[in-house]
Amino acid sequence: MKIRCIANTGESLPDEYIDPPRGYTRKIKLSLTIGKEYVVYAIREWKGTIWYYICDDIFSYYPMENPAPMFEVVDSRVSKYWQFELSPNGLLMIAFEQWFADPYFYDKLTDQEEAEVEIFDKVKELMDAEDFALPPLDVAVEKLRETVSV
Amino acid sequence: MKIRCIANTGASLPDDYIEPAIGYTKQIQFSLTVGREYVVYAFREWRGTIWYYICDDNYTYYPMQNPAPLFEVVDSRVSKYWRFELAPNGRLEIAFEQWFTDPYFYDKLTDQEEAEVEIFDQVKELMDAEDFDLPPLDVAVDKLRETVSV
Repeated sequence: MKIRCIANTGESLPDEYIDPPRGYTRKIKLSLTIGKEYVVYAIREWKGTIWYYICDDIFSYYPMENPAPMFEVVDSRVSKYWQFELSPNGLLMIAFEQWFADPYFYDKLTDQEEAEVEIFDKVKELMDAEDFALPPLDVAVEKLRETVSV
Repeated sequence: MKIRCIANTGASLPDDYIEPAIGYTKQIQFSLTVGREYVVYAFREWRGTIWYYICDDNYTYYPMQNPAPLFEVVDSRVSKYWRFELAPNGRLEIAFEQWFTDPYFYDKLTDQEEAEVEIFDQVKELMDAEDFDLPPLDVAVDKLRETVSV
């Protein structure tokens, strides 16, 4: 999945994304370039707000969450590496398997722990290279039926 | 993605899912069997509530939305047929391509229009048969690098 930046300041944020204790004010300037495309490595939804984890313009070794209203979607196909997790408190995360295998994966990654940095390096390489075209529905169904009947 | 039903009445719904105007009361009885697994064909998120589109126990020809708290996720892998759409009003939908090609796809499907019923039949057949194992991260990256270097 790929998104394109359409805004990079807090002025463009809907009210529900404004959260001064976390730094999300009207004055915030995000490290994003308008018009630039970014690969989405994970998505988080919390109380109706959507956040994309991307490698922004100051990327060093981990993806940062950025508010969805700063972007338009340019490639809506989901990654084959993604999994779905809905926590009992209502937090929805869509991310790669390793993100969920350890509940502290992202914390360890941001702490620059070697194993987690290496995992994200590899996942990033795979997701950056992901590109696939699905066959038309009719063709896919025929192919499936052939496989099943063999 | 597959889910298992863990409850089938409104008594199990959190308050944010209760909406008497559209029938979601504490008394509602869903057409779901506790313990049964269902394939998720699409899902939507709206103001922090998550709804899965599944073929419930009354299924005829279209999937019905059911509130997420009635289920646990048993296979969290996302479908390769899914796409992501975030509407300007904040409504998130993840569904197959054809769902989005026509903004009235779901309405036409529930109206039993022939073309849409046929599309969903085919998508359902493909998604029901979806089963894949991804190679370990190291193997996937090695394979990618070989492909790129050829």
